Amino acid sequence: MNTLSDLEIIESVLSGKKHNYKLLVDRYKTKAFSLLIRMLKNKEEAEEVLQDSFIKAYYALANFNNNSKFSTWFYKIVYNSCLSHLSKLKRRSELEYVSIETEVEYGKNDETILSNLEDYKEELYKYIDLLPIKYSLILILFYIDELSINEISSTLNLSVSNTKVLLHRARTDLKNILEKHHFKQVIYG
Amino acid sequence: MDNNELINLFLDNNLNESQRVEFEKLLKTDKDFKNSFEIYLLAVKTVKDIPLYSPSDKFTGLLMNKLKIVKKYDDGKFFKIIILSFIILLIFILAVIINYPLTSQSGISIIKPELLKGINLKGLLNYIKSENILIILSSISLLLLIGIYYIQYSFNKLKKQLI
Repeated sequence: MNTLSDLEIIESVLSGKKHNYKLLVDRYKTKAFSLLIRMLKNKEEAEEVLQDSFIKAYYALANFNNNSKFSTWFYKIVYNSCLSHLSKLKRRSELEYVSIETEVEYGKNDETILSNLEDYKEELYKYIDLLPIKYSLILILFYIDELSINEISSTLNLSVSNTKVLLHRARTDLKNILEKHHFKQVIYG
Repeated sequence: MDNNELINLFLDNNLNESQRVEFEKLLKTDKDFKNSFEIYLLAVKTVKDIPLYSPSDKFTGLLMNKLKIVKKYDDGKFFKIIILSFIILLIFILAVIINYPLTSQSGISIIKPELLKGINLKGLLNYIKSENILIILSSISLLLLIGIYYIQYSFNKLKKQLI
């Protein structure tokens, strides 16, 4: 397990130990890939965009501002690369049309009783994938990547207040899904 | 204030004092509020437990390989050095040829007259024996360097295509 901080790794890469960039790649590839899978819904495309993002980050490493976190800076590159990719495929609307005004319907109340907890969890993750991409993106950046509201707003090019509204909306939508499909009873008993 | 908003502010750790008092009061007295709060906590737990996906095993290796190749294509330092050396050598040879009558008069002969008359075996042997060997060796080295560069360039190009 490597204990070097992101900043120390960046400094070593810039000072000539280019192979150390691998440490950053290994540190961020899984989280960034999970993010891209949710945005693109396609493994090959996600891998292609991830590779492109790491290459862009490598060549821009000298411009990295030490005052910000590498994760925030890198996720911004990932997000923008994903937008460019979707633009090329004319699928950008999938991300752009979700605004704070968007109301989403997640289906009717589900009375189906699944046999065990694992089935319920699987089912639950499917519902998370039904959330608008920007909602699941914000939830992942906030809870998995542990970015602050300010960092998320910078990553996604949103205002801080819009980011807060989207985070609240995403959380409430997910809570409504859980409520509708009786997940609480199954998980808590 | 709407209950959902209050809970969201709590989860953001953004409650002010009066909101905190209201939140704690509702949590103790209002069953629906408590139920709603528990489902929010479950929603947060669900997101935190969300499975992560990994790119293919060869991802890092391919990326590092690609970075090296791109770097070579971008920099082309090796190629630039070769071109520069070639130009310098050409200028040097041209300068010597142009100044040939002067150098032969002054007795400092760098290029033998045989070379200018056309290459024959005797002339070539004389030429190799002469001090011009330096120029010949430089030219061969240069050709070798260019050859190595193009082999490496073609190899990288082929590798990139395969990737």
